[in-house]
Amino acid sequence: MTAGLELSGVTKRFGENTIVQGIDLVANPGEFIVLVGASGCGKSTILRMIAGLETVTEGRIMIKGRDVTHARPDQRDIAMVFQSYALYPHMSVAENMSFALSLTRTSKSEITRRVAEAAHILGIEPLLERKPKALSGGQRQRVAMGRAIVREPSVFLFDEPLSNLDAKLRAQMRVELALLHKRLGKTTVYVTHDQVEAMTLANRIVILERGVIQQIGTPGEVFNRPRNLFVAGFIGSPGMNMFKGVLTAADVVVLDGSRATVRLARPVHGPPGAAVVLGVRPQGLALAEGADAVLRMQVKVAEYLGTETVITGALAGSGEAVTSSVSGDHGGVAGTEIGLSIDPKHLHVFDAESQLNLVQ
Amino acid sequence: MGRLKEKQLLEMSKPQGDYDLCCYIVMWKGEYVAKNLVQPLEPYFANVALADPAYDVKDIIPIYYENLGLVGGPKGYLAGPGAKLYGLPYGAETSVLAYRKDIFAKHNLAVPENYDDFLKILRVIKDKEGIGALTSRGQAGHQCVHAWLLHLNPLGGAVFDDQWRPRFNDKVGVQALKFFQEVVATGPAGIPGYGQGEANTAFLQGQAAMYLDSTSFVGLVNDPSKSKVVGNVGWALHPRGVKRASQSGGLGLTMPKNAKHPEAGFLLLQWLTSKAQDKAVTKQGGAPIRNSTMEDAEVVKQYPEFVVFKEALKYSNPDWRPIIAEWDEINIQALGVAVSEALTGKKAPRRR
Amino acid sequence: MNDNTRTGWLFVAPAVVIMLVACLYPVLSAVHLGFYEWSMGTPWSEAKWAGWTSFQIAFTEPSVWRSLWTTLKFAAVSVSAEMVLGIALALALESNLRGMAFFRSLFILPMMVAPIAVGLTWRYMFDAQFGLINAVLVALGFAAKGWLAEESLAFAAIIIADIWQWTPFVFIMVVAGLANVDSSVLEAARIDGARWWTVTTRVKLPMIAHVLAITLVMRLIDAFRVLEVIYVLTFGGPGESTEVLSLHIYKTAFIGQKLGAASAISVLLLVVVMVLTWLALRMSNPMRDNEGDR
Repeated sequence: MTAGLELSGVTKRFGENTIVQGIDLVANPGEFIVLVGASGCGKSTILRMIAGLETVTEGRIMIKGRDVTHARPDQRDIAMVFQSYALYPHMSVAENMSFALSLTRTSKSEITRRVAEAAHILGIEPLLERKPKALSGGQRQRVAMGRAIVREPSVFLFDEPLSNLDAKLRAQMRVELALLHKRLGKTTVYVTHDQVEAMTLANRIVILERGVIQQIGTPGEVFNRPRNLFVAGFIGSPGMNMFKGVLTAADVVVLDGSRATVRLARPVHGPPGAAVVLGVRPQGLALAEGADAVLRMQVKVAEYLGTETVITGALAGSGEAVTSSVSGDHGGVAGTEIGLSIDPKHLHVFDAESQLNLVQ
Repeated sequence: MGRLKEKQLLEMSKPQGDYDLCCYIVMWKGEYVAKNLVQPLEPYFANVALADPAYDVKDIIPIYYENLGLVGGPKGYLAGPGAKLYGLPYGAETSVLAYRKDIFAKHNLAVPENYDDFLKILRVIKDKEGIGALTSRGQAGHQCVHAWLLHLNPLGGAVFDDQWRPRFNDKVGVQALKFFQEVVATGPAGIPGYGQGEANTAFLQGQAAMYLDSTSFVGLVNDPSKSKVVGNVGWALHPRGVKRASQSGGLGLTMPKNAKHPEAGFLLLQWLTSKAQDKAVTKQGGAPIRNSTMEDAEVVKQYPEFVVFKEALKYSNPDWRPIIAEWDEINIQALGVAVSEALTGKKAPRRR
Repeated sequence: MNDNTRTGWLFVAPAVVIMLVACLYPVLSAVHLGFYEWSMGTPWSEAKWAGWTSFQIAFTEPSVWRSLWTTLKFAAVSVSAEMVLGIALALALESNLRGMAFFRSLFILPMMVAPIAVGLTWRYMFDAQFGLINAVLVALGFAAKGWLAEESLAFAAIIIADIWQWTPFVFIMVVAGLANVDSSVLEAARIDGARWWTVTTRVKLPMIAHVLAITLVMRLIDAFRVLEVIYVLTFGGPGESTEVLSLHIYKTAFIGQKLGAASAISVLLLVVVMVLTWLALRMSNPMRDNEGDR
């Protein structure tokens, strides 16, 4: 089967600066790929190279088996939705959506049909004669998507499309986007810095840092089996706890400072005596008393969020920051010292030097 | 110069002015008097406390005195019963013909004495020397009318007849305009766009063999920093048509009616136009207004051409143009357009 | 009107009143003067009521209509050339190439020169004998021309001088407008398949239509008021070929000493300019249309 989109060794340099380094990525037809990372990680540059808005310094880009590395943007069979929507302010919604088709030899009736169809899918039929400035943010977002849909491309590109919307609308549009993707079944590359969007929308997530891919995987993979400390810290909210320690045996870590001994569910690949970082998801730390309480923490804040309470504080002994997420209302623990048990299922061990996950 | 008049009018119509002395162009004198903006000078000359006994008004070149100073009289702007002195000349002029002695000698040409010779020689010079024969002002408005009047007068024409009926478009008017057209055809390129500056430059840069304009031009001709023709220029009387008639005009000085210190203004005027000062200014390249300066041995030694200029003054016509209040409008907006259109060939000169 | 709006109105009222007085007074005063016969330098008490005479002159005098026609031709040719050249320059130089700051500053220079100096400079440049333009023409193998000595060439000369002086204004306005265009819209157009020409004509320029309209209106108004450069360059000649309406008004007022008639013609000029401005603004109303999609 031909890949929907294939990047091999794609590199972008501006003079001495390498922005994107050797990206290899294969998106299956219909797959929803999310590029995620902090700002400046190169995710937008990759998207813009796929779109043809940036030149590729090295490497190759293929769409449906065709090499488009040097093709003009309009000849790549892609459509792009911009962060600012990038609607043509002087054109009506219908004109915005039909602009691309009007530049090709598409018949009037065909254009009308496709615009009507896209408008129907997005529920913007009543807006077709309006100008963009008469639309709300969410409506503009839909028009921008409509403009992409009308072109019937092989690949959809989204550049942080929801970041200009307020939180409620963002959540709603996220769902709509997921439904739309399901309905259209087109290969999609989606750039965001928001890991919630990444986790909820993606078939596979590509996590980027300084222009290099850190991990590619399904949301479950990157959450449960982060390849390195960066991915572990980036994915998951609240973020993973990181405690320094030493691997004393293949399945025992002794933490610095608190000298607490943590037994792992399985042995890891590391020489005894190696400096490691123990990663624990906040969900893996539960309130405990007595022998179960492996760790003790001084609670600073306890926030009850309705279903769970997020407790933050400092680890006794080392003073390292700790966050625990426990179900139920435990607002009362603020200011006290509490005991925490560790669920071995949520444990990760990273080599302190290579930062790689030793569990795998 | 054009916008000087508006400023002067505004200044002199204030209840009290900021200026005690005013320098005007001859064409404005009637209007200023009619609008009651300037003062007669006789009371000041009659005031023994102010008047300089050695001033000698009679020494001032009479034609300049009449042309620039007198208002009233039968015609309004010339001498005669009722004419009063309102100003004195300061930078007055008449017309003379400057010519290139070297070019005339080279082709063995005679300096034109009359308009028939003048007309013939234009083409001869153009053909033989390949440069413009006669340079001239020609820009629309005042400039081209001035040049046309230079020819109209000696040919016997006038803007108005003695009964104030327009006669500028009679046979003589057409003849003068046709002569002017020939000047343009044989002259340096671009005369219909020439102001006085461009006309001067063409002669000073050696692009024209003759220049019929003002006596005041002599200073520039003799200045090596501005003139390439120093030493090669001869001066002759304005050629004769049916008569000899040369231009009269220039600048004058007067006291505004709203002057704060009219006596001081008068004293300055008197000093500026005195014998000693006139000679001193002339020696620096200025235009003399007094016979004593024109005849001064020292001055004549410096400017041999003054012998010709003094002769030219004999034929200077104080009625060279009608100095009436309406003249500006007739000059610039009516004749200035019509003459200009004849020069570009848009309209043909003809009688009506 | 609630209390807040009322307070707001009270705060802006002084400025509005001053603006109204400052704008309307000269206009009303010109209209008023149009009903009198008055000559500069005479007391106002000697002004004579002339009724509609001056306005009749303004509307029936052939020279007024001729100069209005000259003005229209001048404005149409010079302003459209300035718009086309200014936009073309702006499009060519908008990208941030090295040394662009220098070129941009260079282009502003003509606007900063006093009009009288512009007129004098061009008068020397157009000089038939010694001018730079003829020197260049001759060097290129063309015949020298009597620029200011022929009607059509003199008309071309005043237009060339105006284009030289005011194209930079259009350039700067358009560059400023383009700087505010969201670059992702242009990228969207590229993805949609628009090439340079289509991006420019169907996206870029329409997006700055309000800037173009304002620029056009300002240039039109200025072109109708042009005076000093022509005064110095040709004084309206040869003949009346370059006598634009403002120069005609000037001559009527200060040479013909007919201030009433001059005022009446000024009112005519004002009406013509207002109609043209209204037409230009109707094409793209910046007051209504200025908030593009950001």
